[in-house]
Amino acid sequence: MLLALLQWIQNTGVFAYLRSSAYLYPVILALHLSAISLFGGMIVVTNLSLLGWIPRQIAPAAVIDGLRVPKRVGLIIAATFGLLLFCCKAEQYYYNTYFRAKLLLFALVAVHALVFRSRGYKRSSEAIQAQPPNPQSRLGAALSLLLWAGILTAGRAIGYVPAPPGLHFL
Amino acid sequence: MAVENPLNLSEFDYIVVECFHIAGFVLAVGMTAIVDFRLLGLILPKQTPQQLASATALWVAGGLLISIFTGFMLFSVDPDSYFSNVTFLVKMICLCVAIAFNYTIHRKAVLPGVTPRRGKITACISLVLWIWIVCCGIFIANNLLNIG
Repeated sequence: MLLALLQWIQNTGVFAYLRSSAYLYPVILALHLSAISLFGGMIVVTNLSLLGWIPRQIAPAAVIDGLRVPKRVGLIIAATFGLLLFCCKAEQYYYNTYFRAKLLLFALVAVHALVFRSRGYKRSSEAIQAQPPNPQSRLGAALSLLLWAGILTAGRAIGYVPAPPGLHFL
Repeated sequence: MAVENPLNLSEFDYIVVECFHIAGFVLAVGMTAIVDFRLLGLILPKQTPQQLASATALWVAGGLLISIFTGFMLFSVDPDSYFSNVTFLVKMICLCVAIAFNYTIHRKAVLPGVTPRRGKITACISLVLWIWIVCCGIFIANNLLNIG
């Protein structure tokens, strides 16, 4: 059922065209990576600031509150290009171990948000003004960096898995 | 005596080096972008561009060093084909320009007293340069800029 849907998606006119385009496909890939570069820095800076590794002249609370919306915008842009890449080779990605790992890591990012948002990140707005960050938010920040590094690694590895035989590209 | 490049022998090692390369430039480009977005007036209005630039300077330098070092490692796998790749050469020229720009004009644009207009133009040039370099990195694989 799912596989049939993925085969249908990748064979719709738009995605079949994008997949076979010598220019458009690499351009989408490049834009995906550009969005990651531009907005990945915001994730890193938020976490470094929670870890206390950014000079104190920039209050962690200001960084966390100020970058919340820009990070969401960045995630939507990067994910949109990512979704386009997925749709071009949906069936192949379904079988790709690293793609599955990447999805699992995204799920863990969501769990991380549920667990730590109310503790480290959100509370920091009021709590960590001048004093050093508490252990809980430091743990949250370290885990967040690890998860995103894992997503980056899994994402890069997707391209190295050879396509299995018998894919239903039209 | 010929010594085999270890990265030629192991795809796993090659991917690991690539991931460090990506992580390095995400750090450098992403941190620079924070300053650029601030210069454009899009984020963190309560912080001055100068505060953000000095808070991120070490991380930008660190990210650049990691990505340049790992870049040399990736290059070492097949120097001949990189040298004959137009896209790679364009990337290297733009990278030199971007680094020079970052440590001269960009550094001055965050100082107090700089007109907002000059800050915004500098931020746009910086963003375009760095995005273009990242894109070139992808385009090297198919030598996409090789016209004709």
